[in-house]
Amino acid sequence: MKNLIIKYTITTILFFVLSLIQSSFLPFFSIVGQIPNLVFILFYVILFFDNRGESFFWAILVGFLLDVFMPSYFGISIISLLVIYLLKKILDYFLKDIQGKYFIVYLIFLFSINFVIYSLLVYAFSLIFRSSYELSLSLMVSLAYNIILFLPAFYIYKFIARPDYLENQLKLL
Amino acid sequence: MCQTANEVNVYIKKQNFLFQKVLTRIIILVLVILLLNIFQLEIKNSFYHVSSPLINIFKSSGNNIYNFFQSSFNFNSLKKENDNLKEENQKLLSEISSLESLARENQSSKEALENARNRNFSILSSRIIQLDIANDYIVINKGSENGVKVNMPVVSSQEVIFGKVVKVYDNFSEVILISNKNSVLDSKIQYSDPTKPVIHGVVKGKGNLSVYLDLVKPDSQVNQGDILVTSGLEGNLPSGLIIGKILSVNNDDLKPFLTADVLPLFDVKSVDNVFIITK
Repeated sequence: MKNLIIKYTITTILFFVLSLIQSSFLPFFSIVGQIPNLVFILFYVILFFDNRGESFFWAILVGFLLDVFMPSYFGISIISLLVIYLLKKILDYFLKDIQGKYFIVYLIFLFSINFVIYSLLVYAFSLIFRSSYELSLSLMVSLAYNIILFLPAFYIYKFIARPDYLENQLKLL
Repeated sequence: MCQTANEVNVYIKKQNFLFQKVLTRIIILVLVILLLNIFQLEIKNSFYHVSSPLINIFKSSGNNIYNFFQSSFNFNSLKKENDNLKEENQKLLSEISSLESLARENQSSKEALENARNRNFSILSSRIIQLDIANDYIVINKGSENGVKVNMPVVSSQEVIFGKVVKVYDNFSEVILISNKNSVLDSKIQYSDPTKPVIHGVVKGKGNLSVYLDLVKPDSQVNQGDILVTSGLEGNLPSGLIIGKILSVNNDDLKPFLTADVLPLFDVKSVDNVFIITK
């Protein structure tokens, strides 16, 4: 229980710091006006390893942090991330078989699909609420930038969280 | 038979439980989102307030690292840029000298220059605390407590326009840059020669920190390098605030108006302080 509290606290702080880095540090390193979405990357890594459904909680918290630093209403990122949460579960069910064979391809494919859908959802909500979020034609640049950071983040998290992940797998068995 | 009926009952109970669980989650979520939006101003203001010291650290370190890499990568192009600047400087000097001679000769233009020098803005200095280049907006550290109101223009110390205030919190304000796709500015071309007719147009945002000039009469003489300023036709915007420089003119016969690509002269990455024109 104590470990769980420490884990949640650290992850929350990490999300907060990443959202600050994203809004103040990364704009200096934009490519065609695009910066990586570090908060989304960490959320997706956690979602990937999640067996207990705790990503539902993270989707709300991460969505809240993204909405705070976005010129828009609250709820846009929260709902978009919840859709991604459900979508990941559905895709996992249908693509389970190819996971082992071509893991990297599966990983990049899954992340790309979810990232593009997330961007489209945020854009669609922003259109409805007439906020100033823009979907640039350079979405592909943004996707490439995010994949480059997602892959190391994935393996680092896998390395750190592996015992916990395996433990959950055994419990399921 | 009885066992099957029991199984069906258990299944229905499980389904109901799941349905209730999902419904409760949805209701709680909707309530949370509603509450967040009701207290949006207070929540965002507190968040900016708490995080502004950290944001300043990240922003200044980002700026330093960016400048370091920029100077390293651009070393080769510095000489070329320097030559261009020298050339441009000479052109500007010659323009100033022609302006001065015209001012001596023409009393009305002298008065206009006097007025331009003497115009008084009430300005409020503020610091950029958040950049969102992808969405072309910034957050500054002055808000309603400092007298900031929606639609007030934000400029640099050289009177280059950045954008307008769109949302005001107690201690912070959101500013959409002129490059934001929702931004439209009434503008005119600034000529040093007062005999030339004033060309009016509209500067629209293209996103990604770029803008373009639109709605210019097709027979207008727009040239590369012309300077665009605000026209002053919009009530809250003073005239003469610098917008940008014409990069290239697109005169398509099929289109009813002339358009031009514009290099905006604001620089969100290197400027820390901006000024809000409050009056």
